[in-house]
Amino acid sequence: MTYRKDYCEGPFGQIHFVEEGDGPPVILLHQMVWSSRQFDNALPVLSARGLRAIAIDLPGFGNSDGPDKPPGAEGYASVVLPVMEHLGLDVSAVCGHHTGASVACAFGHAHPKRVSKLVLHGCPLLTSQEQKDRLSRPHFDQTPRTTGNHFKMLWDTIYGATKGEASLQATHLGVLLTFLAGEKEWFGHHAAFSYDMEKAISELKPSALVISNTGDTLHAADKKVILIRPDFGYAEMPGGTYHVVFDEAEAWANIVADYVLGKAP
Amino acid sequence: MMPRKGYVTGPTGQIHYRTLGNGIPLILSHQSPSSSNMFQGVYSLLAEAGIMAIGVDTPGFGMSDVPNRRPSVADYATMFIPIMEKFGLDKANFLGHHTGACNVCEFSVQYPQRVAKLILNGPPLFSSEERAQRIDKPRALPIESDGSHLKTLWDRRCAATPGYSDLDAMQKGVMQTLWAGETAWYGHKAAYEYDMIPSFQSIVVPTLILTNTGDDLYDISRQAHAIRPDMDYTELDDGTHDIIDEQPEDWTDVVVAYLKH
Repeated sequence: MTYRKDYCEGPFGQIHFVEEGDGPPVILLHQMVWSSRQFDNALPVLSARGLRAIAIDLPGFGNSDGPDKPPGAEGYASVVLPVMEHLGLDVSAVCGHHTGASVACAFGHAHPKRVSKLVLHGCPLLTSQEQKDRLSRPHFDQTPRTTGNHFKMLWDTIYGATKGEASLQATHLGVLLTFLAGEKEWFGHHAAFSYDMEKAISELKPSALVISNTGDTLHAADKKVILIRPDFGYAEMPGGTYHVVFDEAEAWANIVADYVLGKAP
Repeated sequence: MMPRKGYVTGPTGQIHYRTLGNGIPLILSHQSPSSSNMFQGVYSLLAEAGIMAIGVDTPGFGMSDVPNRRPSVADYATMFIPIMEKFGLDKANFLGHHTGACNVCEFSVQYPQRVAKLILNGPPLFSSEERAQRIDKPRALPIESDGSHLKTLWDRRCAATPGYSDLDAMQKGVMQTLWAGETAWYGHKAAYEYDMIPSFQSIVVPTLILTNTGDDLYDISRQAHAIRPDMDYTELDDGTHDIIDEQPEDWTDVVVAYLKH
């Protein structure tokens, strides 16, 4: 199947998703504050590897309708099943990055029989103190300024967070997608920082691969996941930022494809 | 009430739309660079007045696929056919704003039997000299490592919107331009390449020219009425090219009154 976009009904309104390729399905869940566009560069690679790649806009992001209150990781995960039903999928691999990994974990925890394999990249497995600190940070004020400085402020934050090592295109899209998500964009990170991921990871039934890149802010957290679950697979990418899925899509998608297709590790 | 969104497939790939309401069908075509999101503030007002509004993302804008080659207004006009098929409409009313007015004008000339009434909101009825002057305006801005391209675009749109007051509308407009990306300039290019005057002169369907006194196309809208005094004409006071965000109720009242009279 060539690249196509579609909607289906979900618990918070319409869910938007994109898909490409034929073969075993893999559902992709994006980080915050992004959308399915995080996988723009990965979709053609996954499709060329013989997978049906399906990237969902989580509620309130991209083109999906959003809730009025922060839905939490479980709330975001509740859109995965409607997409699977819409596409007639009994079972699928599910892959998430950062907050998307929390959501993938929550879905695998709630519906183990619907998940063939999990791929978790950059797991927000933080201590309760770390979570508290992150939740107490002020939200970005999106109010447009006559000077246009609201763009500059967000650009500096996102560019600064990757120390200029991410692609300009990824930084640019990150800024756009944050403004498009609007003033409720903080709902996204709120899900990661209010989720008991350690408990869910310990109890997860589906087999899983952890991908980690050594330059990522959550690299240490990924290592913790492997300590808790030594039975999980582990694949490491050198360096990179939290835009690695977008910026190094080919290497990343090949790791995902190898695992989903049972070729490694 | 929020509009529902969906896709149809047309000659340029997937075409995205938003729709709300039941009743008199009205297809909305946006200015450039924008999307069906520019009508976000009026879908529910139109629905309450018994209008089924369908906003279409022009190919390359909003969520519609980017065409493989740069389209003309005649190419853009083909997007309405799969939309009408999707909704089972043999005939509909059409409203286009700025570049959208080109699109619906062209459609009504090609398919007069499929157009009940036409509303041209700020028709860019430029002479060939004016079009030639405007045709090579700046294209997409490269992304700068200090993010200054975003402010440049913001400043540009502010400068192109004299008398603006609605910062949220400004933000929406800038975001739509950024979202359209490298091909955001296709829309204006098509509008300036389009020789609208002969098409406009040959319109046979009932037509309203709608403008506002603060719009950059106000003078030319008045000229349009001078060329075709047989058409209806209404002007709103003040406003800019963001009139639909600025005066949603008054704008809706004019549109509904024309469709129902």
